[in-house]
Formats: sequence, structure tokens, C-alpha cells
Amino acid sequence: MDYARGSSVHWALRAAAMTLGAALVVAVQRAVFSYLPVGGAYPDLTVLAAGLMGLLRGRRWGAGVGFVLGTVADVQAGWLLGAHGASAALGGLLAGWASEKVFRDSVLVPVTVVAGVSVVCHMTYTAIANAFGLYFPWRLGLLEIALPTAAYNAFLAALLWPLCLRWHRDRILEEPPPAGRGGGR
Amino acid sequence: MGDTSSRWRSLVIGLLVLIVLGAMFATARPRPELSPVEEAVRDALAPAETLLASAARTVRAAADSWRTTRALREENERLRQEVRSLQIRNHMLEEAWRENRALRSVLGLVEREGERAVPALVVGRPVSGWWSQVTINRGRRHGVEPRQPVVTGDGAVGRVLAVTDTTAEVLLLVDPKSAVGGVVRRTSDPVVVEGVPGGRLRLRALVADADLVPGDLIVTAGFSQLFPSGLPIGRVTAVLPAAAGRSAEAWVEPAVDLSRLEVVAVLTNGEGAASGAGASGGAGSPDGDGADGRDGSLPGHHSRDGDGSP
Repeated sequence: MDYARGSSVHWALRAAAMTLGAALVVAVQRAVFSYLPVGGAYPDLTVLAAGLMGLLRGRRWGAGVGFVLGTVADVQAGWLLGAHGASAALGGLLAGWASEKVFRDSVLVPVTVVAGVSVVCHMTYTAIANAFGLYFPWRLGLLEIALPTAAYNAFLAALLWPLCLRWHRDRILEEPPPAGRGGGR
Repeated sequence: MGDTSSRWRSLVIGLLVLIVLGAMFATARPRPELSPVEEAVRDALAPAETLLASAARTVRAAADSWRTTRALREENERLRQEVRSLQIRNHMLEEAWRENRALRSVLGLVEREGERAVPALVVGRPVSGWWSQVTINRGRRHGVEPRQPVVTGDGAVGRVLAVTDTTAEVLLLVDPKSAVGGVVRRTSDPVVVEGVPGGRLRLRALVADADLVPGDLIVTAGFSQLFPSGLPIGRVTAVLPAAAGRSAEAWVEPAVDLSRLEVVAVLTNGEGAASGAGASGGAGSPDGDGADGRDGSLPGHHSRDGDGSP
């Protein structure tokens, strides 16, 4: 079988790994972080992962990771299938867009970007829920869900960003330069 | 070439958007049955979640016990005294119970018989803070069915929303889709208690001249077809100013600490487990292997699902 980079087997393995990773992230979120609230706030690992991936690898990857993670979370929740996927994809897209505009090495950048996209994601989710006839109050959602989640996510982003950056640099050194392609973006 | 590729990409994205919109539309309302794909994903993730939840629970328990040893000693002493006084009271209550049973048989009231509590561990919570649901490690195989009430020793927790073979999704009382009929224990005024996003409960009186004061205990109503009567729902923390022409409203603190749920019991009718994988599957320790329905309709509460009217 052809396992070479760019082959169909390579892409299939990559997609399988991404789905498994998404399932694991969602399982950790649901089973572990539900026991670690800070001031009543819970993090949202799907948005955090989408934001960090967007910052590291650009819009397409951020949106893709956000969509897959959010969709797995939606399947687990059983309500509004696709709403979390769509909002997390938007978050990844925005983070990827932001990464093109700013210098990423400062830890303040991921902290700010992740906090921002967390708020955007949750308010997008609120908008989708309201559009489908569910009553989600805007002010309460912003103050009691979106902002606390954004703060928790920003804290986790500050912890994880140096590790992500190192992992990403190692990967870039390992990978051959793309031939005639625009990289991940 | 580039034009064709861009057209294909637009087509795929458009198709994806349509699929997502369709999925949202189809799942915006409570469903009694999950799709096979959802069931498969949940069942596949259940063992991992059980394992992770157990690990997290162990770590937290270790931290908690280290932190609270002294408090536990004091509490132990206080509880010993309380046990002594409760033993005396228990004797009195046993007498009252016998008397009550005799009177009920005279009046022809039927007791809810055949109910069985299936203990279960909470193994997951939703990713989004909007929904107040938990996943438990008991499902169809253990006799758990949609609409069955879920309780702890402190009071009502919620009800089963959807089940797979090995797990069940429990809609908590604080979920915005939940509404439960209850009464104020002090006055017996009927009320409805609704979930509010952010994990709160809001009470609405069903009679115009309802008397509510902070500290009032709200319990499940005797007319409920979902919960056994007399289960604590919560306590009134603040009474809201009554608007003209509207019944009294109040905020309610849930009787059960829903943010720290670990072990719950599902009240089954005792038939499901026997017809499923055997009666032994349901009872016992919750650590083993591991829908909606409207209970009538409350006046003015058609958009929610939950406990209802007589």
C-alpha cells in the first residue's frame, strides 16, 4: 500500500486519527473537565482546540478541527446536531484568519484569540438556538456561559500554547517542504 | 482547471451547509429515539468516558478527603448526635406510617408499587454549557427507559431523555427544556418549576394568590405522573416582584447539587430489566458493566417537555 504523504491511504489514516482524536477530546471534556469547574465555569475544549489549531495551521485546519470536534460533541449532546460543529468551525476559521494578521510567538496572542473566539462561538450557538425556536437569553448567555468559558479557555490556552508551538515546530522540521502547494492554509 | 476545482469546492461546502441545516432542523426538538449513528457513537465512547470519569472522581475524592478530614470529624460527632435523635423520631414515624397505610386502604388510594431504583454513575456532561444534561452508565439493558425519573437521596434530579443499550441521557431539572410540576410544602400551592440556562430554577405559581417566602421547600406534586410525590425539588431563594396580571415567580435553589452529581438512581417500573438482559443487570452497584415524553401539558408550557398536570 502507498503510505506516502499525499496518497489516499495517508489521507484516510489522517482522517481516522483526527476522528479518534476528536472523540478522545470530547470524552475528556465530558468526563474529566465536568469535575473541574472554576468559579462555576467549565472550559470548552472543542473551541480551544479549534482556536489553537487555527492559530498554528491556518483557517482551513482550524475550521476543519472545529467542525469535527463540534459535531462529535453535538452527537453526544443529542440536540441541534451541527450547531456546535458550525460555531466551533467559525471559531477555528477566525483564529486562522487572526494568525495571518499577528505575530504568534507571544503568549498573549493565543490567550486573546482563544478568549475572543470562545465568546464568538457561544454567541453563534445562541443565535442558532434562537433561530431554531429555543429560548436562549442573550445577556444571561454572555455573562454566565460565554465569558466564564472564554476565561477558562484563555487560561488553558496560556498553558498549552508553548507545547503546541514546540510540537508544531518539530513537525515543520520533520516535513519536507510542500512542492507547488500553499501548505496547510 | 482551477475554475473546476473552485466550483467543486463551493459545491461541497454548499452541500455540507445544507446537511448541517437539515440536521439542526431535525434535532431542534426532543426526540424519543436516537439515530443508529448517535447510538453507536455513544456506546463506543461510553467505556472511555466511564474510565476517565472514574479517574477524575478518584483524584477529586483524594483531594477532597485530604482537605476535609477535620471537617469530617466534627461532622461525624454532630451526625452521631443527630442519629440518636432521629432514631427516636423514626420510631414515631413508623407508627405514623402504619396509621397512614391503614387510612389509605380505607380511602381506597393506590400506592405506586413495583418501582425499582437502578443506581447509576454519572459518566459525562455535555460540552456546551447551555444544556444541563448528564450521561449515566445505565441503559436499556438495565431496564432504563425514556421518561423515567432520576433521583438522589436529596431529591429530584431530572428524567431520562434518551437511552442506548449501555447509557442514558438525563435531562436535569435546571435544563431550559425542563418543567416540573410541584407544590409549596408549607402552603400546598401548586407551582411549576422551570430550568433556566446557566443552571438555575425559576418557579411560577399556578394560582393567583400564591404565598411564597424565601426558604419555602418545593416538592414534587402528588398529581405527577413522572415523579413520586413529596420529592424535594428545591428551596425558594428570592421571590420576584409580581407583574400585573401574572402569577408570582421566584428563584429556586435545587435541592440536589447538580454540579457535583456522581451517583444517581433511576426509578424504573421494574419490567424493563427483566425483559432485557436479565434482572441482575439493573440493581446493585453502579460501577458494573458498563425521548422525550410529555407528562400531560401544563397551561402555558407547551414549548417545554417535562412533568405536567394531573
